[in-house]
Amino acid sequence: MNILTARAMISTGILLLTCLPLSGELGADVVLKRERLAALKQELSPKLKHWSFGTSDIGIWISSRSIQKVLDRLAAKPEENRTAHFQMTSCDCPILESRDLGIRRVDVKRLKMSLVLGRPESTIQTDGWRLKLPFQLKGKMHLKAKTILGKPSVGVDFGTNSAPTAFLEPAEGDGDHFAFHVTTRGDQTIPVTASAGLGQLGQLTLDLPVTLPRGTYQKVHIPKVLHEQGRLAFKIGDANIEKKYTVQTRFDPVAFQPSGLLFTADVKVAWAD
Amino acid sequence: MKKFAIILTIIALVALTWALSGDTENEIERLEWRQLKKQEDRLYKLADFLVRHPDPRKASDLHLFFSRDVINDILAGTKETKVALPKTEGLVLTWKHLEVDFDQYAPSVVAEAQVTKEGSSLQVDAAVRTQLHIHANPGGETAELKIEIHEIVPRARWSIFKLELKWLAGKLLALNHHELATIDLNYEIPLDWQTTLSVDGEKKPLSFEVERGRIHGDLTLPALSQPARWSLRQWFFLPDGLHLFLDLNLEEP
Repeated sequence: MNILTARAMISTGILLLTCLPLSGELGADVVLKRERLAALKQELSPKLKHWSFGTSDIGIWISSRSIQKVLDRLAAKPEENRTAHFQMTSCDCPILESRDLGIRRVDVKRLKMSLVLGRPESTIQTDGWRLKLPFQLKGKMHLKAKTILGKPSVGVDFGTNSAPTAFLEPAEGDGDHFAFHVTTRGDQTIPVTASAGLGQLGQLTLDLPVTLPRGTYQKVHIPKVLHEQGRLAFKIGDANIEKKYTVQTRFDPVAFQPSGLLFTADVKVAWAD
Repeated sequence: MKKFAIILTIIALVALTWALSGDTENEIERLEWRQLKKQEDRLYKLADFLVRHPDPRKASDLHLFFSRDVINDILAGTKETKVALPKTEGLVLTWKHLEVDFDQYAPSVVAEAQVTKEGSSLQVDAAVRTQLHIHANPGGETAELKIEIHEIVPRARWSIFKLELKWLAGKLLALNHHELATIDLNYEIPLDWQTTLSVDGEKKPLSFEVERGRIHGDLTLPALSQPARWSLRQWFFLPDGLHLFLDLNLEEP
């Protein structure tokens, strides 16, 4: 064996010994790591399921608690910020008419009242959103009475506390809009009692229960599809690139859940050339 | 004996070529292993978080979700744009495909590109390992969105007959992320999203029944205004998309 052959043999051997094991060991490690990751993902998967928004492209979930948080904040506002005022302009009167008593007839001449909102309570049910609205009603009315002894005019203070309930519930919309109705269900009556002294005729006590109109108070329409155009500007290296896009968002009907309101939508993004 | 020496020399040359390409393949496998290790760490962190908070919704006011398809549809807008790679004497990278790999449980972006040498027909396809980088200053109200290119892994198989490809692949592998480009999406993500819930005051006619009559009048409703601030509490890249959990703060300013 001459020196040339010996050199060639040694260099071949060294190269083979150096390179072979490196590649093999690392490859096996990668395979092992992949297997471990697959097992870990499988273990985590069921724990993440209850976050899922299904096949929707975007999802918004607003917790019942945050809605109540807003209402609580509203209840903490100064009284003037949560007070509604009512002033009478006319009355289909009388509010009392009698042939048998000394008081023949009572008409309301003036009426002013204010309604102070308390702490509303929100409850989301699967068929809609229930809102209990406690309030304090206080007011003053001027009555004109027709009695056997004359026509006295008296001022009467009155007040009451009540808590009617309103519902926001889904209704049948059209092709382009979802519809929601703000309604009251069943009979809801606010008891109001006012009493005034009518001199020799004694005390006049009036029960004036206010009946809230049943049915739909307000209709709300929300578009099902929103279109938005925009531009995405980005910089790669030194180049500034700008592309225009159109986004179409098609909402699904809102899901009322005890834990919150769930909105989902499908989105289509189109890039302009 | 001479013949034997020549054969051994040829074997040595082939082994050398194989060794060099093996070295490059080892480098690619190392990158792969490193990527898998990072993913494993993130999965353990998520598993640990889920033990402590099995339902993050319970502690949050708002849960926002953007599916992987929507985010990747937006990233698709970067297709066919070109980047001149720094310090590489005319190498240009053209994006062919860019998407967030949500299976990584991290804002990891998988990108396919083609690298060409200007003024020559030399080109190689490459997998570009990138990271969607969300940078927020402490106490800041927005985060900046950037895609940082970390590694470029050539996909070509080379041989002794394609030494120029080997050269190109070597150039790409030699780049480190400090020298590589950044895609600045010029997009600011609000971490604190402020809004005002407001109701205008109004005067509207109202009539209601009393026992023996009906009263008509005007109802004046107060104007209401409440500042609301949504703050990002937590975000997760999960296989189905990006999940954001926000808190609602209703303190007066």
